[in-house]
Amino acid sequence: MENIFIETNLKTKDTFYSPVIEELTYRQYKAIKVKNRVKYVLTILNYLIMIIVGITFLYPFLWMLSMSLRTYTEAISFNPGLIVGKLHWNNYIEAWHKAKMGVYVGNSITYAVLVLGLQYFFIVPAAYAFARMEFKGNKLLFWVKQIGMMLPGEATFIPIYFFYSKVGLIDKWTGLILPSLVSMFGIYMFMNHFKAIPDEIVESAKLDKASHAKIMLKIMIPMIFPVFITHFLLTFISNWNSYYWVMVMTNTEKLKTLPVAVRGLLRVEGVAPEWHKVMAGNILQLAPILLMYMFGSSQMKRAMIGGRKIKFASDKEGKIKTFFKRITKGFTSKETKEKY
Amino acid sequence: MKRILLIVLMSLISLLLISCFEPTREFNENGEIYEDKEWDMFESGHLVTEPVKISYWSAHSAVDHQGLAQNKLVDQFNAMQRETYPDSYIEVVPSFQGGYITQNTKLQAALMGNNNPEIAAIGISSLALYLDYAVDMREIFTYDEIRNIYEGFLQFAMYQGKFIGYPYFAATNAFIVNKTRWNETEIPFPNITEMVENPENSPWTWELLEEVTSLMTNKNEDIYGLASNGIAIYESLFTQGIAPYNPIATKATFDNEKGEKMFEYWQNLVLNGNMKNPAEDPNHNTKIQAAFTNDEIGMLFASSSGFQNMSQQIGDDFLIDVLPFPKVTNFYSNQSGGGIIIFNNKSSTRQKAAVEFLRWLQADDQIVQFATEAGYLPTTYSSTETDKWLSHVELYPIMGKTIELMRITLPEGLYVPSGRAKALADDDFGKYTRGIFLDGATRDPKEVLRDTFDRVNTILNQNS
Repeated sequence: MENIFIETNLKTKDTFYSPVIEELTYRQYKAIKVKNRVKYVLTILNYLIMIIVGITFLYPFLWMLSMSLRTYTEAISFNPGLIVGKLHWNNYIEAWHKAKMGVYVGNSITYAVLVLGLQYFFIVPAAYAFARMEFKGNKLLFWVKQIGMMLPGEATFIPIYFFYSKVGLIDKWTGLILPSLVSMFGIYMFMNHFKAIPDEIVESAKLDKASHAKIMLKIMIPMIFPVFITHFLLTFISNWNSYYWVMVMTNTEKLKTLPVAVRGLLRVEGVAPEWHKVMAGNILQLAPILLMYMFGSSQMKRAMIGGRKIKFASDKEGKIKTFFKRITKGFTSKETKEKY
Repeated sequence: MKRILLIVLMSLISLLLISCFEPTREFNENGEIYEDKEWDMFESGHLVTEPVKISYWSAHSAVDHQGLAQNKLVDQFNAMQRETYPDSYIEVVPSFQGGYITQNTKLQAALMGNNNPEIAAIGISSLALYLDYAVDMREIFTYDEIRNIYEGFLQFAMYQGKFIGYPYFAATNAFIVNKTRWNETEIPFPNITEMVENPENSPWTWELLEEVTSLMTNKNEDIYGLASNGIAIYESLFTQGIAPYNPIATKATFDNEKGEKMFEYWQNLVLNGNMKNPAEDPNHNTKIQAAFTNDEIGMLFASSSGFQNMSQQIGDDFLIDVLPFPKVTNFYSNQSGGGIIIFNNKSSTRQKAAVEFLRWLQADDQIVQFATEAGYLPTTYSSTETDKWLSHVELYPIMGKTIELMRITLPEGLYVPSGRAKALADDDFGKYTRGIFLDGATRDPKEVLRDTFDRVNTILNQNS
């Protein structure tokens, strides 16, 4: 069997030194070749899986977009394809007018702004108190709040509606936003991050005679700033999409929000709904969330994993660009070509 | 701590005992709607002396065309009141709940807190839930006014001797037929008038339905003779001469050979390839409407509230007609949609205001306006004789034919059940019957019947 010589560690072309020659047997050469091929195949498989998973997440959005551009007859046929013969952009205008979005979008913005603007005055101090302060009934209060979080929302609607109607909170902004102001999810999220801050930092602040308010505002909040962005985004999404709560706690149309209007397009009795307009309405409703996610996704990840530095998604190379760069690198690696 | 637990336990036991001793009503049936007695009627004319604001709840959404049609009526009523009675007008504030389930949930809670609206549109299957809170319609409408309503729309109005809901969102389930395809089969098209007046002589039977759907099916061109969202439960049982439940809907009554025949019949329609399998696609109901308007289905069993819309879509592409469910022993045309309730827990003035609004709604002009705009059927005989309705029927002949189905009455001795648990039982009845179409429609009909019967009985027992 012929031996194969491979040059490795060749520093320069005109080197005075003899290159280090490793003598490989044919078997070793074959093993390296097979190993590299397996590596390529696995890389390709890896990307294929990523693309398939990506498509499964992306397809519903693309299909929704495709449905929103069809005619009524095309839409109710529920063709799973994405290609649309003639694009009916006017569906968006019709959906806007039919669902009276001009009215409901104002209510949605008011609802989101009120919740987002006011909730931090309640949940941040509560989270700080649960995380860093010792007081009587601390555990009991936390337990009661936790129980509330565990109950399914639907199970509490009737008693809440009954209570709200008795105290006159139905059809009022106060009633609508009240539970969100003391959301256990927010308290829990901030509490965990407050707890993660080393005790030494808090102790040294206390030695400098800093009050709890000062420690919370000047030390802790700046340290967990990405959590605010994550919480802000999550709360915005949940409030913007809130349907059942708004539907139950409002009677007249003056406070109803966008999801109620869009869902209302589906309500027609006995008739196949105008799915093309429903989908156009869904896209219009989703648009602000998608925009916010595009700009804030890196902060969300950072807050979940940990870390402080804020980095905007658009600062550096985009994900798509990096993705293609990695694919290209994988297929045209110079190192690989030179070796064999 | 032990003492507290003991008190809680004692309280729970007391509540349990109280609930056990709650007096039960002795009602076995729902009674006749035209009871011959002197009724304590609400006065006629304008009934309030100062401005009154009342709430009106609807299960529709504010943005669908049926909700928009209601909103328009409310606006017209408010404008008329302001103009006619500037010092004592009634203002109706509409509230759209976006679905029967949401509305029922809210109403139950609102009634407990006495914060319910004065008037509400309720699904016919849920009317019985409001027995204790509803004003008897015979205190609002005279004998002649009630007789003016199509018989078919009074099916679910009575519960335990009370006329609970005035039919308003009226529809029926029927076959919308591609008559062009039917005519190709050379079978004479059944006559609805004959079905109403002389049902025994009508050739429109279960066997004929099987035959005609088979002839209309063209497997090469993927054309089905029949499509339906599921089994037409009420129709399949009533046309065999039995009801699905006892009169007050506390027990199921279809665990017999007729129930079995229903399952076998529908399963065979799918197995023979004449009907699209409803269990194959989650969007089946929407898709079959599209397929029907695209001339791909011979007959579609659906709610009449969609017929006007389908008629618009079809235009002149092919001829359409309507048929009720065929008979075994008799014909039956099911009532679907809703009715209007006036709640009795409000002040006399507010009740009077609600009565005045309802009386205005049931006037011929308003009935026809609502029917033509929302796609529902007019509920009274006199409204179908108005010029507005007649010109609407010229545009949509199918609506004129569909209303005729509501003249079909049940034979003597057969009743339509109504009860508190009916809506829930109907819901599960529909879901469980779909079992017959699962696994390529190969399940044993007897097994599906047993499962369905057990489930429906459990629901009726638990919720009655």
